Amino acid sequence: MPRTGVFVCHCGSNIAGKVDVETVAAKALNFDRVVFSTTYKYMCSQPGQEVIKKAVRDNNLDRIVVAACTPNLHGKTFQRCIKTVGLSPYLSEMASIREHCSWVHTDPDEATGKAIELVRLATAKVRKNVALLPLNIPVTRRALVIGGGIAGIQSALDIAAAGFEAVIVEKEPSVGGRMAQLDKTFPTLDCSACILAPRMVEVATNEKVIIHSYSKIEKITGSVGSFEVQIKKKARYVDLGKCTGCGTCTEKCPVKVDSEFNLRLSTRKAISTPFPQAVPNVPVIDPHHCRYLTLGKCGVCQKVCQAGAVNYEDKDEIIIEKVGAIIAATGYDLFDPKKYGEYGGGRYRDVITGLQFERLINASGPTGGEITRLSDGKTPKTIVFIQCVGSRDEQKGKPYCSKICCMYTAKQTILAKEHIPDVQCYVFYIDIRAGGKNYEEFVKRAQTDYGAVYIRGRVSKLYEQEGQIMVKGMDTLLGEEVEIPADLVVLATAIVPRREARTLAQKIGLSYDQHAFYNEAHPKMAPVENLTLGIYLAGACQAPKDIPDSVAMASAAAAKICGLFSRDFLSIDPIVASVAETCCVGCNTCVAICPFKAISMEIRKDRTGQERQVATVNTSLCQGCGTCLPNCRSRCISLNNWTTDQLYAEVMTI
Amino acid sequence: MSKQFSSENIARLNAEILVKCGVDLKECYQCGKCSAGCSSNWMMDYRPHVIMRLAQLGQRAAILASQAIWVCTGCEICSARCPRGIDVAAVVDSFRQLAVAEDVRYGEHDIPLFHQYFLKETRDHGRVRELPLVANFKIHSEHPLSDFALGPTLLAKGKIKLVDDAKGSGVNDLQELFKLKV
Repeated sequence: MPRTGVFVCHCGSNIAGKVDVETVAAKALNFDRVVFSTTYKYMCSQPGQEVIKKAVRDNNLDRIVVAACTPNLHGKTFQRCIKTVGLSPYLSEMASIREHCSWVHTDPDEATGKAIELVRLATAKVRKNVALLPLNIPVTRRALVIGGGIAGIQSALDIAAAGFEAVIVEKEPSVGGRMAQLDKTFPTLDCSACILAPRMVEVATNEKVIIHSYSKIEKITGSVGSFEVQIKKKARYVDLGKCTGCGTCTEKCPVKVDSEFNLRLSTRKAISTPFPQAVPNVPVIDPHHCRYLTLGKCGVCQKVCQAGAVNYEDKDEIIIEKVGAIIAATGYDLFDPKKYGEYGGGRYRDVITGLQFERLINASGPTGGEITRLSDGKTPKTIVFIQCVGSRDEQKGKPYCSKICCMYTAKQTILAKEHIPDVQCYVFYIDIRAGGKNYEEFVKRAQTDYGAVYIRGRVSKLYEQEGQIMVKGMDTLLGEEVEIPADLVVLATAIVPRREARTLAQKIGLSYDQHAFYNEAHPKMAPVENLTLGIYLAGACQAPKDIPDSVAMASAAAAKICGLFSRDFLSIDPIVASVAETCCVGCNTCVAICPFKAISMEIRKDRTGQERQVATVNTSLCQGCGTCLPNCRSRCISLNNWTTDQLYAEVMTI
Repeated sequence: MSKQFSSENIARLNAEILVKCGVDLKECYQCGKCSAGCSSNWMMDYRPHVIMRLAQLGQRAAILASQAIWVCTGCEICSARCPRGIDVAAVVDSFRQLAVAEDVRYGEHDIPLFHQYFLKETRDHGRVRELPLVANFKIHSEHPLSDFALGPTLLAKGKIKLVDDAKGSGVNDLQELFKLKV
């Protein structure tokens, strides 16, 4: 026969200021199977927990109800508390008489009445709670890192440093990501490639790190501790083992195509590496433009390759990797400024994006580091930078701030001045957001030491006149219209998730927001975890982020994974769904509706040998959300300690 | 009418002010604290932060023709409170000097006119003789007869004297000062 104790918390005046807690405790003694009740000022405090422990021992209680805040806040506290006196943690319940009662009601009498009812419900439920045992899941101690940018590289290196294997999957022919495209980095003006390249080399030579470049995630199955990953290695047509990276093939290749790495500011060959420091430093053949692969004629690269590495017969290959945890570090794309007709919609050659400007000033970029106009090759004397193109614009772009544009625009004005001493830079901004160590000082330097003129206001129109781009805007500080004849205009376009972010998230069961940025499990307390157990986030796939933040996040995610890998078994909450196979009709409803892809169909044979399909729950994927329960037409799904029977008992007691 | 910016004007005015009073105009980040504290801001066509903004953008002519630079009393609250340590009062004073030197048509007439005869009195006599100062100011102003009725009362009370040839004690030193080129 259950013996339940009820513990009513004052929470200072949070609850007791509105609810008569003594009355709640007194009334609770009348409820079914309740043998003890009391109140305390702060039940979650050390002495408060002692009150519970003493009551459990003295009164031989086997179940408790704590009427206080929410189980999200302190459920675990009280579970741990009764565990120390030998009770199963799952024999406790919480009645939320703060969030659901004292905080939201004004009348003390009515609030007290509701608190009594909430406690009554909880006692009815806890009576039927079962002493569940935690689930133990074996852990495969290898991690998958999706994306080989700076965030992916950093987390792979950190995981490797702890002695575990990391598998990087990168869709481009080389790791390096966006950082490889940048010239210098704010606020220190370190050369981006110079600080990135050592990490790229380290990751390439680290024996604990496996890099699958020019590869894509096809499918991920399984759950925390044991994921199975299908990776498609795209045909490279060049043997990674044989190629020496001499570059002769690229030199001799007769086909020129727009370079994606240089953002179409220059051309590349049909067989090429994206940039000189590429890792692996092995070219790929672009099958859409290679003359041999499209027309069957040419074959020059194969002829000149001394290592015999070129193989036109190469095929896409599917490989399988087994891992215990995953880091999504997929990075970002840039908003397409063509949506802004008033900024030329892509018609003006001398209106470029911030990332194109990075390539333009980069010594290994299309102009060898010379800032020139694309239209006539002349050196610009007046450069106008426009911030918030696509950011903070709910009409044409995104409502959020892209965070890094204020800083990189300031950097670009500095670099422009260093490249062209007599250049005048103007920056149109709405607010300067330079929060970060030495960031504000950096923007100030751009203004004072490098003479960039900052104009507060959005540009309303760009138009061509006598070979220049006329910039029409407003100086809202002066309250007057301004017009600047510019030689070059640079648009700081918004940060958006990678184009493939949504489809990848759907493949692996990652939750994402309306912009397709990946969701953290909690914005403050779990910023690198995803809601799906075993999946972690690093870098700009979660939100616009600069290099220091991405690196910090990557290390944090790696630390989480190392924690996971430090044990043989992973212990998780047993509040999961289960299927009574005898009555399951195999209708598939639950499979389709489960947000965590935790339910799948299996074939069972009955006594007569006839086959039928039934649903089964992968307990390590199930988050215990309960969505499947009301949708099961044969009522055969149950959620541990949230059974229909328990909910029914709650309803019937009111 | 939209303002036309040119890199030459911006660079030239920045350099000019830097030489004149040691202020780097680019330091100003337009917080407006100078204008908020200014004791005479309510009389100005451009308040101090707008003067700073116009200066940053090389809008020299607009500032020289403004009345604000003459309304400024030089109390220096703006300079004392500027978070970037800019001597705003010195910038305004520089523009006054430029306006005088270039003989532009001021946005305000009485104040510079009064300054002119006040300084003339100081230079020539080592002190200010009230009657010649007022007389000179009034004759050259656009309203010579206003306040005329006050004359007899002031005379009767001895506030102004018809004959007043006394020189200030340090007149020679003062004249040396005026000869200094700053």
